[in-house]
Amino acid sequence: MVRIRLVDVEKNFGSVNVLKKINLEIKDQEFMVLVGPSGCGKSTCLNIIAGLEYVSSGHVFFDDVDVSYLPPKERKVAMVFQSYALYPHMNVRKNMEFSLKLAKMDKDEITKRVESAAKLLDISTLLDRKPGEISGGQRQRVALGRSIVRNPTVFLFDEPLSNLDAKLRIQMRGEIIKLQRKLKITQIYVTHDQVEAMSMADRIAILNNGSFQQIGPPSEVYNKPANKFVAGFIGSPSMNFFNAEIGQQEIIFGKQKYPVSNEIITKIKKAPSDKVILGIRPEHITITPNKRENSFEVTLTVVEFLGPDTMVTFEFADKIQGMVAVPGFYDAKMDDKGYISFPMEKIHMFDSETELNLIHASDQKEPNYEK
Amino acid sequence: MSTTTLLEKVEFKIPGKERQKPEKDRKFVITLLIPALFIFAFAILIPIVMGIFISFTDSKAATGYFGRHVTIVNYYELLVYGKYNSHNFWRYTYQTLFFSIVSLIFEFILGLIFALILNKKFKGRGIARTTLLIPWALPTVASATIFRFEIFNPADNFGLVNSILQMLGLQTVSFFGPDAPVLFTLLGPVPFGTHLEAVPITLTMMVAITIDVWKTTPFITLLILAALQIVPEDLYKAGDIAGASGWQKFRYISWPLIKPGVGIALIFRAMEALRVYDAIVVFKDDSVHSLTWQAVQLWLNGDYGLASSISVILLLFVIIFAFFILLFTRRRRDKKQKSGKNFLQKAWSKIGHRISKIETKAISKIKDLKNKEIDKTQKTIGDQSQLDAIKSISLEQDNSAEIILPLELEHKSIIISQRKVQWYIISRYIKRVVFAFMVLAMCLFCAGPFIWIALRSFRNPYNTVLQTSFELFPKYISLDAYKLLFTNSQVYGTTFNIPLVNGVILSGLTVLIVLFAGIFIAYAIAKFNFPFKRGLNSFVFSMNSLPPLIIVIPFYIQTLLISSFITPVDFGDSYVNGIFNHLFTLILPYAAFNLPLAVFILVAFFKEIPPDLWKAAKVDGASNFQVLRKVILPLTIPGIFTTAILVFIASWNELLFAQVFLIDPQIQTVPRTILRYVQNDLSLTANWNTDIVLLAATTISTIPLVLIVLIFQKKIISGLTRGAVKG
Repeated sequence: MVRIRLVDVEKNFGSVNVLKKINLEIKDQEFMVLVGPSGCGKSTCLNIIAGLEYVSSGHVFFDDVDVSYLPPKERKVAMVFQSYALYPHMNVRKNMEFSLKLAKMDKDEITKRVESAAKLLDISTLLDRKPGEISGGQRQRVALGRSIVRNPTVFLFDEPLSNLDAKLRIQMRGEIIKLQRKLKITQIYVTHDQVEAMSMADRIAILNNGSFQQIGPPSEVYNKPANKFVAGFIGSPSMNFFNAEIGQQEIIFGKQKYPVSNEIITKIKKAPSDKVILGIRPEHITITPNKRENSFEVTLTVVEFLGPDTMVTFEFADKIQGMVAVPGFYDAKMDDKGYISFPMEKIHMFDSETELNLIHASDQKEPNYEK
Repeated sequence: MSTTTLLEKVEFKIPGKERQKPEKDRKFVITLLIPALFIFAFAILIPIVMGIFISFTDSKAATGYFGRHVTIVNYYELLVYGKYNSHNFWRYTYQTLFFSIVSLIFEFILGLIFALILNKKFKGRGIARTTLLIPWALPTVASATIFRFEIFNPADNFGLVNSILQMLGLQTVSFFGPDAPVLFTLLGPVPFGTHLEAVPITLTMMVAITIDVWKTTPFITLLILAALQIVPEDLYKAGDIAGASGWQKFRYISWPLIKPGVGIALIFRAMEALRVYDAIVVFKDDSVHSLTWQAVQLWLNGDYGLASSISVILLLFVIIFAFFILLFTRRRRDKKQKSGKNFLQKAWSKIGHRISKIETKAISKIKDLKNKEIDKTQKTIGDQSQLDAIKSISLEQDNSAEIILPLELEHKSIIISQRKVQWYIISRYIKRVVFAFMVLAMCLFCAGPFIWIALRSFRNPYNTVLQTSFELFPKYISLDAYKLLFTNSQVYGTTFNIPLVNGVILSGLTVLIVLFAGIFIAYAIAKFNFPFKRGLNSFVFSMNSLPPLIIVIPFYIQTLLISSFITPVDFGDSYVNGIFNHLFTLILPYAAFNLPLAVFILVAFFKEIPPDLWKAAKVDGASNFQVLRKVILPLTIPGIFTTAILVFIASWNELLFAQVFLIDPQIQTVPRTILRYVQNDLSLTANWNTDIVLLAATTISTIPLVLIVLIFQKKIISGLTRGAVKG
C-alpha cells in the first residue's frame, strides 16, 4: 500500500487550534492506532489523512505525492465510520457498489468484487437486505465490505466498534486484525479505548490536546511511557501517582520516606526541581497483611474481588489514595491494615513540571513532547 | 397515604399499553377538547354547511341571504358554458391553475437551491437565514404593492426593472395595465362548451407569480432544509470518500431521503396556491384575477349565491388536486425505479465493455511480465522441479489475490499529474467565491425589495419635481410621507396609527385564544388516548388546506344572524363600538385557521418531554392539570413562544376576512388599509404624491414584523423545523 507522512500539520477551526504542528509517519502495511481522550484531535487527524478536511498548514504525503489539497476521491482511501454511514435507502449490495459505480467500473467486475468481499466477510446472504433490516454487527461488516471492494491505498477507521456491545466488540476486533493481515493493507484506526489500541496496534500514537505525546509499539508505550499523561492513559486500572520530594537516598511522600535505588536517585536528581511525581501501576504494587522490608503501612478503604484479581484501594497519610491489583483472592476488608512496597524496576518518576518520564525514556527520540 | 390510593392516582397513559380510563381522566380530556372544538364548530363546520346550503339557493341582495328557493341555478350559470359568469369562471379557473402550477415549480426549484445553500455551514449563515424570513413576514398585499409600485412599474415612475432596462438602452416593458404583452394563450376545454376557452397569459400574470414566489420560497426553503437536516452528515462523508461529486451526492444521497417530506410540503403548498387572492388583488388586470377574486367581487355585488357556489367548487378543486397529486406521486415512484434500473444497467454495460477491454489488455500484459520473470529464473535455476515449485507458488498467489482483489498485483500508489493537483488547489478558491456569490444573491433576493421600498419611502411627497432621474439612494431624505400618514385623516379616512393599534389588538387576542385552545388540545393529543383521536388529528391537520373563502361568506351571514339575536353592545363611542362589534368577530375565524399550525407545533414540543418527567410528577401527586401547568408548560416555553409569533404574524397579515368584514376605515387592519390606499384613487383629493405615502405605509406596517422576525429568528426556525421533523 502506501507510506503516509504528516509533516508539520496544523489545523485550526476558526480560532480554535485543534492540531498543533504534528508529525507522523505510518509505514506500509502498518496497523497504526491513534488514541486519546475526547477532543484531543484524533478524528480531525484522521479526516485530514482522508481528505475530508484540509490542513491549515503543513503537508500530507502519500508515498512522495503531496496530497494535502487533494479530495478523498484522488487519495483513494476507504473509511469505516462509527455510525457505519450506510445509505439507508439502498440495499447492502448497492451500498457496496456505490463507489465502484461512481468510478464507472465494469458491471461484471463490480459484481465479482462485491461477491468476493461478501464471502470474505460472511455477509453473502444479506446482499439484498436494507441496512435497517440487519443487526449492528452485520452493518459493521457491510461497512467493512464497502471499503474492501474499493482496493484502497489505506483503510481508515473512525471508532468503528464504539456502537457495539462488549462481546461483539471483542469478536470484531479479532476479525479486523485478521482482515488486515490477510489483505496486507495499511490501516489507521482511531479510538478512545486504550484496550482496543493495545490489543490491535503495531504502533500506537497517543494524542492529547492536539499534539502527540508518544508514538511507539504497545509494549514500549506500556513499559516506558514518555510522560505522565501517557502513563495515566494506558493501562487499566490506571497508574497511581504520588507527589513526592527528593531526599538523599529516598523519596518522601505523604510523610513516608521510601528508600530507592541509586540508579533512580541519580536519574531524578538531574531534574530541575526537587519535586517529582512517583508513578506505579496497580498491578506492580505488592501488598501483604504484615510488615516486610521496604514496605509501609496503609489503610484499606475498598476491597473488590473481581474473580481473576482483587482491587484494593488504600489510603495513607493525608488522604493520599492508591489502588493495588492483587492476583487472585486477597482476604481483607475495609479498615484493615496492609503493607505495600514498590519493586524498583517498576517505579516511574515524572518531573513535576514537565511531567516527562525521568527514568524510562523510550529508546527512540520522538518529536513533540509538549503539552 | 396508603400505597393503593397513591397507585390509584397513577392514571396516565403508558405508551404501548391501553388502559381503562377512570372517570376523572375522561372528564379532563373532554374539558381539554371543548375550547378547540367550539372554535372549529362555530368558525368552520357550521359555516361550511351553511355555505354549501346557500350555494344551492338563489341568494342575492334582492332575495335575502337565504334566497327564496332551493335551486342549482348558480352552478348551472358558472359551469355550463354560455353565460357571462361561466365565461369568466372558466377563465379564472385556468388562470388560477396556471398560477398555482407555475408558482409551485419556481418555488420548488428556488427553495431547493436555497435549502442546499443553507445546509452548508458558513460564516454568516445565521444572517442569511434571517433575511430569508423577511418576505414571509410581510403581508402579501404589501409585497404585491412593492412589486407593483416600485419594481415593475413604468420607467417614468422610476420602476426598478424598467429604469435598469432604460439605463442599458433597452426597450422598457409594460408589466401591467392595458399595454402588458400577452405571452401566449391557453386553450382550455369547457364542459358543455362548443369551443375552447381562450385564456391569455400576460406578463402581468408573471408579475403576480413573482410576488407569490418571493413570498413563499422562504417557507418552502425552511421545509426542505428541515428534511435535509435529518440526513446524517456521515452519509455525505461516506459519499466524499466514495468519490461522489456535489451533484452526485445530491442525487444519490440527499434527494432520495428528502423526497417524501418535500412531496408532502409541495402538496400543501399547491392547495394553498389555488386560493390565491392577496397577491393579485392589487392589480386591475383581468388576466391575473383568480377564483377567489371572482367570488369576492360577486359578493360585493350582492350575488351571494354565486359567490358561495364558487367557494364550494374551489373546495372541490382543492380536494381533487390533493387526491390527484397523491396518486400521481405514488405511481410515479414505482415506475421510475423500474425504468431507472434498466437505463442504468444499459449505461453501465456500455461503459463497462470499454473498460473491461482495457483491463484484459492490462492483465495480459502483466501476466506476460510475470512469465518473463519466471523465464529469467528458469535461466538461473536449472532444476525443473524447483521451477515448477516457483511457478505453482506464484500461480497460487495469483489465484488467491484474484478472488479478493483482482487487480491487486502491484504496490498500490497514487498517480496524479501536477496539473490536476494545481487544479484542485485553485478550484477550492473558485468554489468558495461562487458560493459566496450565491449566498449574496439569495440575501439580495429576499431582503432587497423590502430595503428598496424602505429607501424609496423617504422621498419628499410634496416635491417630486426634483426627481428627474432614477437614483439608488434618495438625494434628499424626508420624513414627510410618514408625517402625512400619521396626521392626515381626511384623505385616508383615518390616521395610520389606528390600523396599527387595531392590528396589535386583534392579533394579540387571536394569539391568546389560539394558545389557550391549542395548548389544551395539544395536551390531549400528545399525552392521552381517547376514541376518535386519530380522526381528530387528521381533521385538524387537513384544516390547513381549507380555503378561507368557503368560510368567509357564510361566517359573515352567521355573525349577522347571531348579532340580530343579541343586541350589539353600545359603548357610546363609535370607534369602540366598531372594535367590539366588528373587529372582535374576526377573532373566531382567525383562531380557527391558525389552530392547525399551532397544534402541529405544540404537539411536537409536548411529545419531546420525556414521559418519565410527568410520570414522576403524577407519582408526586400532581393532577392532570397541574402536570400541564407545572411540568409541561415551563419546559415548552420556546414552542409556545414560536407559536405565538407565527400566529401573530399570520393574523397581522390576513386580508380576505378583513376586507369582507371591515368596512369602516376606522376599524380596519393594516393589510386592509394598504389595500384601500391601493384601490381607491386617493390621489384625486390629495395634492401630494400618494404613491410615496403608500410606500411609507407599507414600510411602517412591516418594520415591527421584520424586527420580531430578526430578533427571534432562531426560535422561529427551530419551532418550524421541530414541527416539521416530528410531523
